[in-house]
Amino acid sequence: MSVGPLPIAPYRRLWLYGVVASVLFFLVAPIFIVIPISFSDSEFLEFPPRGFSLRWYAAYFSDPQWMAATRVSLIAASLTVLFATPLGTAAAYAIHRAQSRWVRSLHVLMLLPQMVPLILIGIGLFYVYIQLGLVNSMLGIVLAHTLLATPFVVVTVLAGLQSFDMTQEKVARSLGASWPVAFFTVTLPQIRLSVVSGAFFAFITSLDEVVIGLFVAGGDNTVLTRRMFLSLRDQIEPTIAAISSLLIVITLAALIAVALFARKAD
Amino acid sequence: MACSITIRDVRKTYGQFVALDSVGLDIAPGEFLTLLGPSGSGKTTLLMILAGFIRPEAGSITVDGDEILRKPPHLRNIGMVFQNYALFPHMSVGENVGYPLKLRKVGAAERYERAREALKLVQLDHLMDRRINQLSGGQRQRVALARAIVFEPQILLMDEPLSALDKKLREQMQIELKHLHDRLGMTTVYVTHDQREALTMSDRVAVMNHGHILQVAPPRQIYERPCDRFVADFVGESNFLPVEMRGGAAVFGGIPLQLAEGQAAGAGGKALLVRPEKLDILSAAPAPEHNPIDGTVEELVYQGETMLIYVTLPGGETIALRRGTRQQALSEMPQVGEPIRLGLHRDDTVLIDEAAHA
Repeated sequence: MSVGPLPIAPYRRLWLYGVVASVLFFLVAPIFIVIPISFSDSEFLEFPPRGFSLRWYAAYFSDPQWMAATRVSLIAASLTVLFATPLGTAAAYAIHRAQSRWVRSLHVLMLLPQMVPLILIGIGLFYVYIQLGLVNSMLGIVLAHTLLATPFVVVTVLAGLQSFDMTQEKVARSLGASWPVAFFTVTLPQIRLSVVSGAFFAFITSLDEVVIGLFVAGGDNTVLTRRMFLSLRDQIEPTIAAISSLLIVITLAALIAVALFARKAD
Repeated sequence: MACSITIRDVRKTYGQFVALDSVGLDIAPGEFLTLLGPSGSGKTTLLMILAGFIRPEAGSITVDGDEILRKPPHLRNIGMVFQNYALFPHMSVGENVGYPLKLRKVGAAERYERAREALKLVQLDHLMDRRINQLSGGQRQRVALARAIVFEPQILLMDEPLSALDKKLREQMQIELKHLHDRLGMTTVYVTHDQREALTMSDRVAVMNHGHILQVAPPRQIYERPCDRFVADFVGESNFLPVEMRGGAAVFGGIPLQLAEGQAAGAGGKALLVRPEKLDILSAAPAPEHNPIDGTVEELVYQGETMLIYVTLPGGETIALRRGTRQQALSEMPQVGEPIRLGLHRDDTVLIDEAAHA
C-alpha cells in the first residue's frame, strides 16, 4: 500500500476552491451569455436581453438557407465519423501492435494535423481541391474533416488499447480465431468505449469546424459554421445565438450519451 | 487423439541474441514434457514457436509427420494456457469456454453442453454464468485450462500457468493438472522455471540454458544423474566438490571414491555432486558402503521440516546437508564447532562434467 500525500486542512484548501471556481466560470461564462441572448426578443445581439421570445428559434427553423446548411453539416459530420473512426482505430491498433520503433513513431505523424495551423491546412486543401475539382463538394468537406478528426480517434483508441491485454488476442488465435476474427470478437468489444468516444470527438470536430469550411465548404455545400460566420459579418441578429445554443445542447446530449454508454459498459 | 511432435534444428535470433540455437526434440504421443530453464533460456520462445506466434529462422516442427511451421496459429489446433490466463473479461465463464467451439461453428446447445463438461473437469461447472472479474486466481486458472481443452486439441501448451498462484494452491494445481493430463492424454508441453514443479508433473524434463537443450530425461534421471554442472545446479540444491583423477580413480580428500554403478572416473574435468539430503552423519562404527567426508560444523539453520547443517571441509569448501526434524534426530544434532564425519553412500556418489554439455 502506498501512502498518499498528507491531507490539507479544509480551511487551507479554500483558495483552491476559489481557483477552480474562477476557471470554471471563465470556461462556462460564454454559455451563460449565449443562451439568454437566444431567447431575446430584441433585433440585435445584446446582453442582458430585455424581453423573452422564441422568435430566433423560429427564424432559424423557418429559414431554408439555415436548414440547408444544417443538413450539410450533419451529413458531413456523420460521414466524417464513418471515415475517421475505422481509419483512426486501425491506425491506433497498428501503432500499438507494431514492434518496430519506426512504425511507433508514426504516432507523431498522425497527430500533425492537430499541430499545423488550420488556416494553412485550409489554404493547402483549397489549392489541392481546385486541381481535383473537390472545392465545395461534400466529399471534399468530409475528407478535410476526416483529416482533422482522425487524430482524435487515434489518441482515444490508443489510450483504450493501453489498458487492453494483447495476450487475449493471442489466446483467441490459439483457440482457432483467425487474426481478424480475434480482433472483432475479443479486442474491439473491449476497446469499444474508446472507439465510441473517438467517434463522438470526430462528430464534434466536424460539426465545430470553421476555418477549413471557409475555404472549401461553400455553394450548395455550405456548412452551418460557415453560414454562421458569414451571417455574423453581414447582419448581427440573435439567430446565431439560437443556433449556438442548439449546438451546445447537441454536444451536451452526445457527452451524456457517451457517459451513459460507459457506465453500461462497466 | 494424442500426437507426436518432432522438433528439428529450430533456430531463432533477435539481433545478436541467440534465443534458440538449433534445438531438436522429440515428444512422444501423450507425453507430458516440461521445458525447464532460467529466464532467457529460450523455453518460452520455443513454446511460442510451437504455438505459431514466433516464426523461427530455420528448422522444422512436425506433428504426426505434418509440418506446422507454415500454418498460422489458428489452424494448428493447439490449446494454450498463458501465464496471465488472458480470459476474456467481456464474456461470462461459460462464453469463455464456449469461445473455441463457437469459432468451430458448434451449435449453441452442444456448445453449452461441452463447455459444461470441460468446466466439470476442473470442478467449476457451477460457475458458468459468472463474470471473469468475480473469480479468484485459482478459478481463473481453471477456466483458462477448460477453455484450452474444450475443443479437444491434439496438443496442449502451458506457459508458466501456475506462477501467479500462491504456494499451497500451486502445489495442489500441479497434482490436479497431472491427473487431468492422465485422464485426457493429450501431448502436453509445459514451460516453467520452477524445478520442483517440473519434477512433480512431467514424464520428461528438458533443461534449457542459453538457447540450448542440455538434457532431456525423466525427472528422476534429471535429478539423480544430471548431465553437467548447470543441470545439477539448476535442478535442486547441490554441493560441488573438486576431485582428482589418480590412477583411474576419482580421489577426494586423499581417499579414492567408491562410485555408483555406471559411473566412471574418466579423464578429468569432473566434480563430485553432493545433494544435501543424500549425506549421512556417520557414527564411530565403520560404514564400508559410504565414502567418508570429514569436516567441522559451521552453522545450523532450522527450517521447519528440515534442518540445514553447514559443514566446512579441510580444503575450505562448505557443503550443506539436510536432516529431518523429528525430536530424536534433533536431540542427536551436532553442535557448531564440533568435528563431524559425513558419509555419502556409494550409490549416491555421482561425478558430473564441469564443462557445459552443449
